[in-house]
Amino acid sequence: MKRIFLIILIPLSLLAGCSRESSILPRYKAEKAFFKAGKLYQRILINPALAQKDDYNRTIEAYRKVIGFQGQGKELRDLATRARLKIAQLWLGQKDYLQAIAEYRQVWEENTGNPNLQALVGLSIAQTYEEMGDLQTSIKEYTKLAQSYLAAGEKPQKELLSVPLKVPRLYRRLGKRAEGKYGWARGLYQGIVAHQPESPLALLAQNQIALSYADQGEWKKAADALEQIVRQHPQSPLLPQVLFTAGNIYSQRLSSPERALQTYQRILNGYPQYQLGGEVLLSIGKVYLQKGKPEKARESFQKVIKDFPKDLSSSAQAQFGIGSSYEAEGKWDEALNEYRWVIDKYPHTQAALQVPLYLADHYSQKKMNNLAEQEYKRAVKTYEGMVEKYPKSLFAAYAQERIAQCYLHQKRWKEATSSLWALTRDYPPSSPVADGLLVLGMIYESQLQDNSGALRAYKEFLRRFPRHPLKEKVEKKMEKLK
Amino acid sequence: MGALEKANLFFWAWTQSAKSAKNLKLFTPFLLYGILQGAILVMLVYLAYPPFSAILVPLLRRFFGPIALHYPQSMIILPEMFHRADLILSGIIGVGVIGVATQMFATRFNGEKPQLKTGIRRVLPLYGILFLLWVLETGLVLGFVVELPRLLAGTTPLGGRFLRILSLLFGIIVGAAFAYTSVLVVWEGKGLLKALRGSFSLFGQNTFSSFFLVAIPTLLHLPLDWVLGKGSFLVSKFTPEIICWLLIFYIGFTIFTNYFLIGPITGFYLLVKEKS
Repeated sequence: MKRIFLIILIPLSLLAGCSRESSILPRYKAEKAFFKAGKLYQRILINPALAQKDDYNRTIEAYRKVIGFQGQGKELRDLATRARLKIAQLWLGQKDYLQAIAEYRQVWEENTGNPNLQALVGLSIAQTYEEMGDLQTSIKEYTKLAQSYLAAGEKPQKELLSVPLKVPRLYRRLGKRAEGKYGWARGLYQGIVAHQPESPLALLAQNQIALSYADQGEWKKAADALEQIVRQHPQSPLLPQVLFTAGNIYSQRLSSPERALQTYQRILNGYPQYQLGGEVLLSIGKVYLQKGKPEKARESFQKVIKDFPKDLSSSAQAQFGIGSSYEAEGKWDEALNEYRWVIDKYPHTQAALQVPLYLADHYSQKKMNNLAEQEYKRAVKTYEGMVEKYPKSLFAAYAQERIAQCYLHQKRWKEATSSLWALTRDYPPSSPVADGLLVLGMIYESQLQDNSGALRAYKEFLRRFPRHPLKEKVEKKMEKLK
Repeated sequence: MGALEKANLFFWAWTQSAKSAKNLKLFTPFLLYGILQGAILVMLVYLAYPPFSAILVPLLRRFFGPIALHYPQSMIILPEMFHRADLILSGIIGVGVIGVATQMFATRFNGEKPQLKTGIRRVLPLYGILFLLWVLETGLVLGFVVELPRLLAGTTPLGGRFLRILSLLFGIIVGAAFAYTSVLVVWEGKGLLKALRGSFSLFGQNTFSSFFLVAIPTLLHLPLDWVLGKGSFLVSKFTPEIICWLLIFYIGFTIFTNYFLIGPITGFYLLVKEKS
């Protein structure tokens, strides 16, 4: 018996003696705590709107427990960092920006040996300042980040590439001149391009250069920057997208339809599997319409419907384009027929939203008053049908906005204001709601001479869109009205 | 013996075992084995805690990779770790447990009082033969259940699911062919070769009954095995600890299925012997 005991004991004690595994316990416990905190976080993410302060606090507390585990080892430290980043996100979810920034700064300080992580944390700090509306500090943080991680000419992280362009854009949001800052941003991007001209990163940097010119309305330079990408990265999978953007600039900004057609055609010939092929064909059709070649345009639009039936948005626009091509030829009856098809075939698209008001406006512009009145009535009915069919959706919000537009175009101000109030009352903050409140204010101000109504609309606008880019202009308007 | 008579014996063996379940002593060997399985489960669940960590961490890292030492991945692969440990346990302890249980069932079916001590005393000197039989049977079963689908994968037009069913079928057939070795060694005192020959011969004469004697308890395990194979899903939808609870249930369920594996096989053997 004694011998058996020894046979078992000796290998066990040897294993135990050789093992250095006691350190996995704190890490294992921390992983367990991290997992449990993650489950709590998932519950918040299911519906953040319903999450209570207590839910957030409990989850933050759970992540703090992870940080509390003491021990050696990189894995445990990484886990603590991940927990702190989650805590920062939880503060952001509660719009407690300063607490989030404090957590990010802590991560920054604890990870001095990890410049990549520090850069990403720096980006989060700058973004948080931007989100909280402190644009001055945000600019400082973005500038610091760009100078530390992009100016050195080393290979920066992809996520940081948007940083330099942020600076002039924020300057413009502050109402300041940003030409110099655009130049500065381009300088940084050119540094990256020069350092590794054929790398994917250089392509992205070159794209940022194009964007910077587009921001400034220098469309020729933007197109040239894109053409440079095409020359330097002929094998890049991003090339069709670059060409598509260049084509759009030629057609929409530089009034250069031939160049646009060439560029679009290059996409269709070189990249037949391009996922936005339908949109490219659609753009070709639009260019032909611009050029006064409705038959050629129609051919393109018909090809969109035939070849890209699953791309409902492009197909609906193509159907609308076919109507426009007939209209351009003076064949209104055929055009009307095609326009009505848009609503029947593609009822849940932006093109379908466009049609009813477009038809009514057509008769109104032609001074065919009886037909126009009938068509406006019909349009309101169609839009009301859409609101009913897709209740509480963004699509319904756009339909409600169009109802108001029908009344506006008929100068029926009272009906317009009540449908706009319905829009703002029934839908969550979104682009049509913001536009609706601004239009409401303007109707009260200039058509109904009702300053209190205008103030009510603008006040509601500021309440629901506290960080809207037009906030300051609206505030100035309110000052005047008071 | 005609087919009807064989079927009768099969049902008799089951009924006898079911009736004997009132005698809780017959569960003792399985219960003891269940306790050992439970101890292994506790060790695996607390793998990061001393004193288990000293032994388990290097072993698990060696056989399952570092992923086994991270939570909740350790829980996802817990059933696999448990099954491997259980395989070793069944070789070291399980063969003896089956021998003791066979001895106790045979005693009971002979109208005497089964005694755990007597069973152990009878089995200890025969442990070597039982172990060798276990090695043979387990090697063949694993060959059919694990290796065969692996070898055939990609070389045959048969689908993966069909291959798995086929291999399970072969595994049960091997189990059925070896089914009577334990009773032949423990009760009849036969040697290795005679036990093998006897068991194969009995299987040849009573193929269907032997097949179902092994298949029923084995197939009862399938739903539970299927659920345990969905570790990632269980962890993401519920909590990792649900896998521990499922394995505890598995251990309890195995006590029951082992009882209805060894009992009917021993009963069937004795009935066939009596008839012949």
